[in-house]
Amino acid sequence: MDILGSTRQAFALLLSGDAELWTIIWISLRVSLVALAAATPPAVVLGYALAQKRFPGRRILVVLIQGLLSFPTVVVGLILYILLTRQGPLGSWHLLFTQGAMIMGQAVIAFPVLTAFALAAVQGADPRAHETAVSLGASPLRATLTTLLEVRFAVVAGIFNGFGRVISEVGCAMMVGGNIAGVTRNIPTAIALETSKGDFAQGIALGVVLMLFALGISIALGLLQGRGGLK
Amino acid sequence: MHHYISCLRSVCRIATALGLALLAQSLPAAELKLAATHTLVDSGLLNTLIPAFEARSGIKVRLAIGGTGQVIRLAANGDVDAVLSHVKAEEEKLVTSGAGLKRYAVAYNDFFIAGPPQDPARIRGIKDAVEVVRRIHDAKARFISRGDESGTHVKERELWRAAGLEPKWAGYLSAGAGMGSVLMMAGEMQAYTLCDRATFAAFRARTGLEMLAAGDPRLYNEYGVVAVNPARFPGINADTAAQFVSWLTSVEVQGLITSFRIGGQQVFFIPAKAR
Repeated sequence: MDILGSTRQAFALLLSGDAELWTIIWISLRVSLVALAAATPPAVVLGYALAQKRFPGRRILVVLIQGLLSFPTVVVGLILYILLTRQGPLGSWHLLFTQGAMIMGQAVIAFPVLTAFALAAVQGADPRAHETAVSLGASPLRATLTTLLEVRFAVVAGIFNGFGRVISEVGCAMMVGGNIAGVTRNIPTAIALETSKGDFAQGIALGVVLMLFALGISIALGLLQGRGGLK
Repeated sequence: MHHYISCLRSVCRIATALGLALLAQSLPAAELKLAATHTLVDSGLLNTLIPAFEARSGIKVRLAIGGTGQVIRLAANGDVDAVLSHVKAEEEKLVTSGAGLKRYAVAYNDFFIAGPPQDPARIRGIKDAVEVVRRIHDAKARFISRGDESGTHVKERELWRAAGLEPKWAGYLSAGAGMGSVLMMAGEMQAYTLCDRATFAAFRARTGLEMLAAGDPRLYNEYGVVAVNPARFPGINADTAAQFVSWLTSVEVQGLITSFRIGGQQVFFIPAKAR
């Protein structure tokens, strides 16, 4: 196998705007961004509630969320598959092997990450912001929004981390998406397939894109931490 | 104190046992690295043949599974000792390029087009496979392609070429997966697919698909075995590979292959020239 040749070919593919390659990248981005958009609001609400409110079962929920941080993504895939298969309880939705199923899977995978970050952020927030808002006559909702505004950088950091987790996830995406070319084939499943076919150039090109994403995320996080004054 | 010592002792004992187990694993027992195509594994045939070979020879078989394109490449790179696949031209190329020794026919069956019982493209009972893919194309019906350079995929492309059609419509899906996975997907999505008789039989109950169009001589599916050439790749297990090939083509194994049944049905046959 010629590594240098494959790498050269990979960059040629990327730079020439190879349609198949860019479709895969676009599908990856689309699925992950929609999943994050769907998961973030409920995750932030839950994280806020866990940090601010005292209710029965709260501790169990916190432990559960922390445990779910390292939940195996293939198990998420397995559970979703069982739910979505034709004979499954949600079989009539006809979602298996569609982007919809992949979005569901990634939303479930990102949810605990987003929640844990929101929880930590709200817990670490200066309580005076909330108190001041209340004392100035803000409604509970308004006071909540003030607190969240105060910790927005930490919440956004959570979104970046969630993005990092789902954009590179292969198990669940392969199981419920089916790796269908042009429909549900995203960067990680394409890399797995190209490698198994022994076609390294496209795999390397996609790997480069994925690593650029990771680098971009960590640069963005660094900038955020600078701006948000996080320790 | 005493308690700790006895504890320590049992820890030592477990560590020794683990160490011995590891050692036994790494001892250079005779082994064979075999690359085989999805259909042979998904159908269950290799689950019968490999234990029989291991019991007979004492050789441990390490199996690499992939599409024909992939397993041929493994053999061409000397990453395995022998290869079992089902694209005769590719196997012969392996031999003529010097990477493989000699090709032996092992077994055959056939491909056919399977699909949902509703049969939206009305292909049931049509013998001409080219007419079948034309109807599927014209009906814009869902069709799942292996899309993985496997023997089945190669055969499917032959059909589109013979029909003079480009398989490009919204319902034509390229899965890049093994035969079993593709049958499961076709069952889920109520789609057509080209499949081999053995894997279809093994997955029939799970997919609910039906054999709709069979019998075209173009859909003949022959499996062959090639041992990798030790002159080209000195590091390989040439010995065990040679043993495997001569065992696989023996009358005894031909009996095993023809008596292999899925749901009471024979799904592999012995080619005349291998007899």
